[in-house]
Amino acid sequence: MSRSLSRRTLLRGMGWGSVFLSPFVRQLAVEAQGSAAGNFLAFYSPNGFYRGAFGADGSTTSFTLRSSTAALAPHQSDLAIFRNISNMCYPGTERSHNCITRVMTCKAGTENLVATGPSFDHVVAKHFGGTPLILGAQPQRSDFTWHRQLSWAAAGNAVRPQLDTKALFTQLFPAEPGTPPTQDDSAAKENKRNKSVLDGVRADIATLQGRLDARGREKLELHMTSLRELEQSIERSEVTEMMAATCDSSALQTKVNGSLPNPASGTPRTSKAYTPLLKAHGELQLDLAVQALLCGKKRVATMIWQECSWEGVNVEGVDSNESHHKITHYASDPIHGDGPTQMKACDAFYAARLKYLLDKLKAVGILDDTIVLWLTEVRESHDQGEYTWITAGGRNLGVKLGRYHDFPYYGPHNNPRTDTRNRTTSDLFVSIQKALGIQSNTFGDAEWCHGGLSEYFG
Amino acid sequence: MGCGGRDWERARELGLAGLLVLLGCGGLGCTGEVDAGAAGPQDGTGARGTDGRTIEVPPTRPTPPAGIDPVEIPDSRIWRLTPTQYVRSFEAAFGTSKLTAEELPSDPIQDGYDNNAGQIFVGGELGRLYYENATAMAAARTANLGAIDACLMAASPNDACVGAFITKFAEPAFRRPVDAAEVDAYLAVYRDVASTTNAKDAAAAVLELLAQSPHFLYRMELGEPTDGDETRLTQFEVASELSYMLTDGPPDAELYAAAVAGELYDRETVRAQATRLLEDPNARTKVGEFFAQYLQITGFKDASVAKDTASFPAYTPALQQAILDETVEFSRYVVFDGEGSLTELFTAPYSLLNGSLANLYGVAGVSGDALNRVDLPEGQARGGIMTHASVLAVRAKASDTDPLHRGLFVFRDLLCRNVSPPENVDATQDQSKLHAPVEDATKLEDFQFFQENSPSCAACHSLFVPFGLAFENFDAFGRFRETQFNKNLQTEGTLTIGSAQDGEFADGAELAAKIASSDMGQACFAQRYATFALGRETKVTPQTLLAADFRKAELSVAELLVAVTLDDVFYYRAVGRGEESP
Repeated sequence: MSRSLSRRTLLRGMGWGSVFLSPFVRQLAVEAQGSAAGNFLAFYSPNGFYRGAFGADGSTTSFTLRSSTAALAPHQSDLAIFRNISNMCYPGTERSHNCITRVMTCKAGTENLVATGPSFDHVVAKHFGGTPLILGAQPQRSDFTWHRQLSWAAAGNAVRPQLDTKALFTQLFPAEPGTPPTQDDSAAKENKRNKSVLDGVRADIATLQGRLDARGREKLELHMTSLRELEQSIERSEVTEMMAATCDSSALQTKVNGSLPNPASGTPRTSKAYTPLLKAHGELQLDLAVQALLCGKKRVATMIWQECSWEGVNVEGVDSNESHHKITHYASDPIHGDGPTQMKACDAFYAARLKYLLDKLKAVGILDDTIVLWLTEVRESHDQGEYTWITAGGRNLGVKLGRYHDFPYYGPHNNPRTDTRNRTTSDLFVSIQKALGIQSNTFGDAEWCHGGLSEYFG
Repeated sequence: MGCGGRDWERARELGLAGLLVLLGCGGLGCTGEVDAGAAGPQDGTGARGTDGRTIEVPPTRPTPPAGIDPVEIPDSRIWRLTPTQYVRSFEAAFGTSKLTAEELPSDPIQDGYDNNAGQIFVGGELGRLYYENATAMAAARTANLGAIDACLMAASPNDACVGAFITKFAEPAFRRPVDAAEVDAYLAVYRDVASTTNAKDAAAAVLELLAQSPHFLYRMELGEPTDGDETRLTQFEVASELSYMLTDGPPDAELYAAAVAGELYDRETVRAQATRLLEDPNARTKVGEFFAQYLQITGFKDASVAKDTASFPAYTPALQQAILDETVEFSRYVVFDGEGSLTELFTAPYSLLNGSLANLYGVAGVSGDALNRVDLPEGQARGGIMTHASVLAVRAKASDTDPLHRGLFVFRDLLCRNVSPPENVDATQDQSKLHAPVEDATKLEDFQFFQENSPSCAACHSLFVPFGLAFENFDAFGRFRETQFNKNLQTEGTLTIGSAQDGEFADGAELAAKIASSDMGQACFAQRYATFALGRETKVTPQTLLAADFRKAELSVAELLVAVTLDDVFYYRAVGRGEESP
């Protein structure tokens, strides 16, 4: 069979992505966990974002994604973006990373770092009759740190993210067969062909290496790393196809049991070697989340990309020894380094990871049934006002997508209790929970809610 | 040509040998010291003309005689194509690119520019984007193999046929001839893929490989094989360096032919090629790109989103775009259509305005969206690029001015002076010491209060904040104003840089004019351009012959662009030095 008639092409030709499989998949989920429709996935990235290059510009229906979030352009029609949302739903912590503890609860606690939960993921999962899948990507620093306490089962009861993909897989798919996926002839040929091309590129790199000094060789080493990532990515695409075609987790199992990057390997997080590990581990966790949603094992998942207020990615192309956290302090101050550029690079890194997730959800046909919310705890300079929230998916749940809502903002320090003109994060949660079948006009502290965002639905 | 003193003298007469030197990038701390060499000589040392120039670039660089600072030749390197260069090179070699430059990730800014060779490489998403673009192209190009060469339609094309196919695409992709060993290697890939699929897939695989090869993705500056510690770039490397430097694209047919003919070790030929390339529309684009990055207004839209538009509703996205366009188009206009000098850039009593910009500037009688040359109003201290709304608004807050950052730009980027906070100072400011405890304090009053209450910080800030205060008669949006809080704004100050232009200035426009006519300002501008053109931190030598040449050419910016291509740093590379600090 020629390449043009590969299994991938055939599947696409059949329209498997959004038409052929989705009703079946949705039915699986519904049967598994109750009657309400839809899934919810919280995608958390740490250390905030740089407003100036984040989100979009333009009108409600005609907008352009800004540079940090440009990677999401292929999914523009799947997005609903809200600018100028006040996230100050918990007074006293307006300028701090410890807002992570309350960003999904929207309730003040009795102690500074303890939330009066439960958080949104638990509320929704409970509504569906289950519990959320809480995933993380990064080595653990401490069992007790508040830096990753985003998800709260109840007041004072934070749920730690699970980092061990292998263990999680076994937990979620205990009865799955352990046999590796089989490839048909066309897929094998396609893999061989891709390998020939990439081997050729590697050979060209090798011939150059001998003529370069250490700095040049280092540059080509990074190029080699990029090729390895590309190769893995192509392999993962094959896995996705198998997941979509059969809801068979054996392909994912092979991947999970394969050469997993060790999240606790101790690779310094300020080194360039760390980011590919983080990326590979995180994306595998997302694969697992998608598989769990696809097969109805879970309806709600929360992905925590590292802890806030600590270290962070050393993003490709940013020559800085500063941590992601630290550069947020300098985001508007060129005297202390090019903070904006570095922060934008970090934002772009996570935007690319979100794109990866949306690609997956779309490929297996459940993006229209799944609401994804990109969360973080602060914006640059650690402030809580003028947030831009990006949501994706949920078309089948009545969400109006391909929209950019630029709300007016009435001052960074206005108190929403007395000035209800500011839209709040609580309002966004109210709207999302309505899409998921929870008919309540409040979430968290009722005083911060104004009934939701009607724009979410039209 | 040998390496004797006479040859050196001739080379020195010819071009810009000895002009540029790479220095370390360590800051000088809060000293306000001038970057090495930026001050320059006061007498125009190094005057020389075009008559009787020695034109040859010999295989070995002439050794300078005693008394003349040796040129520090840059290291050999590979330099990944920028997004614009990638797309234009891709299209030149393979046809249509599915990817646009805007869809590729932007590169980090180093030393003010996003094209620093040391900072850009293939990593992250880029590898996948290259892959996707290559596969899309290959599928399209091989849809009709016969259109490439009928011999490829055979059931099993022979080696000569496939070799010709490989050469046809590899030579423009690599911007140099390919040798037999390279053709054999790609031929092996073709045969390998063909053995399990078919001729079309095999041809597509080869195209994908070429489009992802480092020989395509990087510009090579490796030079000729040598046992020494310096090498001369090959003819084809010189051709690429020249073309990408001036037009952001690969060599065109005429330049490539000159490389094939071995003519690019002739500096007069290179000068002629450079002058020709400046006629290319892409050279205009590149000049605009330089000024946008030099003035750091590329993030203008990012910064502008934080503006308090409620206080100025006319500050619409359309006006913001016009503000950005004004500066880019003005710089191109001056360099290519106007007088072309640095002086004009910094003092022009006109600009390119449309209706909304004219309203912003208080100019009557202008309408429409198109930018046209318009005389600026007198009595508003506006003239030259430093008083453009883009430059002023990008260094301002939501509704308030920011003399600190306006002054810092003048200090760092117009005068090439260094400043950085002492390491033991906490960057967190005590806000109470920043604002004068008087009602509606002006920025001058704030600064005077700061000087009294934070003397250790103020010692450093006093070096540059007064330069920012000179622009206080332009608000956060770049609008002219004479008063604030019913107080007259004082914009006068004193320039002290050890030049003939030292003395009092009345406002920012006068300050900019003084700097543009000073040796230090001219040397600094030459240095900033050289850093952009060469993709590395570059500083003008103490002799500042480049600045002298710049002055001799009556500060012609176009001449400066050409002059960089004639220097030894353009042709020679050090070998092995990069082993010291990986």
